Amino acid sequence: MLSIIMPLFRIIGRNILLVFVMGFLIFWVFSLIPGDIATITGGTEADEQLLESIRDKQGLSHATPKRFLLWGLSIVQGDLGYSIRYDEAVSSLIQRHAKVTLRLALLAMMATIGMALFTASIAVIFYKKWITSWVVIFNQLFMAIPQFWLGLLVIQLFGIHWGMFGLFHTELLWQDYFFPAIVLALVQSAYLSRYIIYAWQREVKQRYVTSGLARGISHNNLRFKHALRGGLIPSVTIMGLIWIDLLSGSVIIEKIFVLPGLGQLLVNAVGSRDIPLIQGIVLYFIFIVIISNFIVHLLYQWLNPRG
Amino acid sequence: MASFWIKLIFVIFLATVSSCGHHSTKENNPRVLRIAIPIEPESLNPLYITSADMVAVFDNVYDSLLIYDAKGMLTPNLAESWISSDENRCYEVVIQENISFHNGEQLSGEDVVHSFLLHAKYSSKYADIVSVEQISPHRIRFVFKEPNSDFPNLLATTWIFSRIESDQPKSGTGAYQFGKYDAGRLLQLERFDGSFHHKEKLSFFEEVEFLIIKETPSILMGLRSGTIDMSAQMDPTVIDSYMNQQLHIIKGPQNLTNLMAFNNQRAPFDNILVRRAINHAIDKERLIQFLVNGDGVRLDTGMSVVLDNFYNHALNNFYEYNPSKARSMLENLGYSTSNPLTFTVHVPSNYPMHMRSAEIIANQLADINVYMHIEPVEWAVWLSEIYQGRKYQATIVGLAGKLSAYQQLVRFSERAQVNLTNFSHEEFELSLQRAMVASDLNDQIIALHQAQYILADQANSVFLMDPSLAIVTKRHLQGVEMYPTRTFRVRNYYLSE
Repeated sequence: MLSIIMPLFRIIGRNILLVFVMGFLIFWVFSLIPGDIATITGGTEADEQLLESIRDKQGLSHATPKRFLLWGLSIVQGDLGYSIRYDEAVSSLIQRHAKVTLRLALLAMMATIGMALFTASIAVIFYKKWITSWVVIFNQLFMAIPQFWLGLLVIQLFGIHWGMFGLFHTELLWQDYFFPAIVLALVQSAYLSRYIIYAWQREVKQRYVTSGLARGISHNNLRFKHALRGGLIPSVTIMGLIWIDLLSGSVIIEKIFVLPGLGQLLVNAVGSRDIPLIQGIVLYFIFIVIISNFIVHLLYQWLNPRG
Repeated sequence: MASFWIKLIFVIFLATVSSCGHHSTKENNPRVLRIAIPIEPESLNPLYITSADMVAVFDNVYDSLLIYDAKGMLTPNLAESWISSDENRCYEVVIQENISFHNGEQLSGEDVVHSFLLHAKYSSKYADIVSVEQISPHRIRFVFKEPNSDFPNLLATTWIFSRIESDQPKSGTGAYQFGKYDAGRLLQLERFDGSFHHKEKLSFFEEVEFLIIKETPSILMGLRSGTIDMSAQMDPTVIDSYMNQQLHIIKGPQNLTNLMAFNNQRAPFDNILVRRAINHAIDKERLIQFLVNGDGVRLDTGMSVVLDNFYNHALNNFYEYNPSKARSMLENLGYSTSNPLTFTVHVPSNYPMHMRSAEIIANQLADINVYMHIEPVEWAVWLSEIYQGRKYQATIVGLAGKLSAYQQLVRFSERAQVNLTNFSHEEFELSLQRAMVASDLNDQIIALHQAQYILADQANSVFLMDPSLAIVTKRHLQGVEMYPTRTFRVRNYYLSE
């Protein structure tokens, strides 16, 4: 029992330390870079009286170490603090925006895995045929195309020209994420497909596959039931990285498709030096990375129980 | 096992694809107006709102005693009438009766007194008011120590709040009330049917959605696809022939003073001859042509031509474009090819127009062996280091328009909250003072013209232009007018058949 609990405690302790180290670093960095939060919030027309009022209200007149301490104490109590820029609780801001990013990421991830498996299957089934070359070419193409250009093209064609979707929705439904997710998936699936193709093709050349063929097992059975499992092992790491990348907010796609996700929120927070919000978002990212690494670890165990 | 997962992913994918439709949200409601705005509210507390865009938005929620019309003339709003006496030391305002706040309270003189006292806690603009008192339920008296001819402008720019909400005003008397705010995305207003603006007729639109969209290409897409009804801040240069045909476009100067500001107390611009030489070296007409395709009005002093009567037109072409003269002036000061004048201009990087202006000016100055190094600066840094800290030699900035010529010019004065150009000139201060105390409009205009002359003569900065702005709307959206400052008077808008 102890052998299970102790590593768990170590992991939790390590991550708590990580949170405070990151929080301290953010405070320290933002205390060094220029930019007065009150002036940014108040703007050029704000009087000194108004700026003082903003500073008092947000506790900005306290020294940086004191503000960090107050923040640390509030975190321990589960309170992420108040956004200086938006005058709203950080937790509710993150909740609202992370929901958008999470939905986009889920859909994009499913599409990424689906497309990657589809193109990789073609490359493996039609190994050394002309169709495989085309798969490789398209993968290269989508890896080279900038996401923002692809996004603009999709909006122009599917949104404006064919009217299949609109922008600037007051309430977002699942289908509003479809086209942004496809744009993300086209690029990410190209990367993932490459890894899967390479690993899968290598697995197909293994001796156990040849033995299986000799015993009368079909090609497709061997490819999809046996070799694919082995081919997915190295790709799981890439999937994990893609997942974290998607969850941390695809700022460009969110900007182009006007989705109020976490990427946009973080950019706005940095621009307005909204330290409580930045720290809240960083905390969220740390949490996401921890969970994602744990899931990747579980997937490894499932794919390769002997490992 | 792997095939099971592949099939599952494929099925989910198909399900998602098949659920797509043409319209993903509630069906288009013609009574909902959607306006694109490029910035977010500083706060939902009206006391913290200072930017021109947000003032324009919240002008639909809160009212002032007076109001500017499309020609820049003051007319009564919450006030029924106003008079001044004692050489503009005393003002009395009579407010209308039977005006309701959004919280159901009736407007009275106490609310006006409360509002002015509250505003005075957050702004020094009210510092000159000695007293504000209610002398009857609907009559208020304002007293100044010194004559103040600019006070009507303050009456037109001070929102009146309900006194029962104390320091956290929420309710106004406007045609619309606050609905919801989704940070970074949307500000929604709902029609308030009990507003005095609706005494004769209800506003056409029941709801207004201000969509916060910072990127021009996104706004353009929204306008083209019909999901946005209006954008009030388009750069005319991005409007193409398709938009001209499909949409309704109104263009005009935006009451913005674009300038390359000099730090008058920092070398080399602490020398008036250097400032004058640089003024002669810049071809403003070419700059306007390159930058905005000619869609801008040349400026020669520190305010916009929108306030026509107050603008000193005699200053037109005060510094004629004469690179030879500029070169010889600099040579007399010891600058030459081997010892060229060099300086740095800090430009806020989030304003593409300022960046392009800097590039054009740098090219023009290079012709006379003046080397201007362009340093892009993040907005937050520009605000604190350049604007507040004044740690710069030159910077390019657009000063937002005011409807008072005095308020436009006082920005260059030592009495300004932030004297961006570090300008100090006794006669300039006296001219402004004379304008403030003038009881006669002609005297006021003469004093303001004198102040403008001094700014030009002293070459305080290179005053560039007032670039035009375009309001772009759907074809059948009517009632939209161009005002001397950013204004969305949504209660006047409607859709034609």
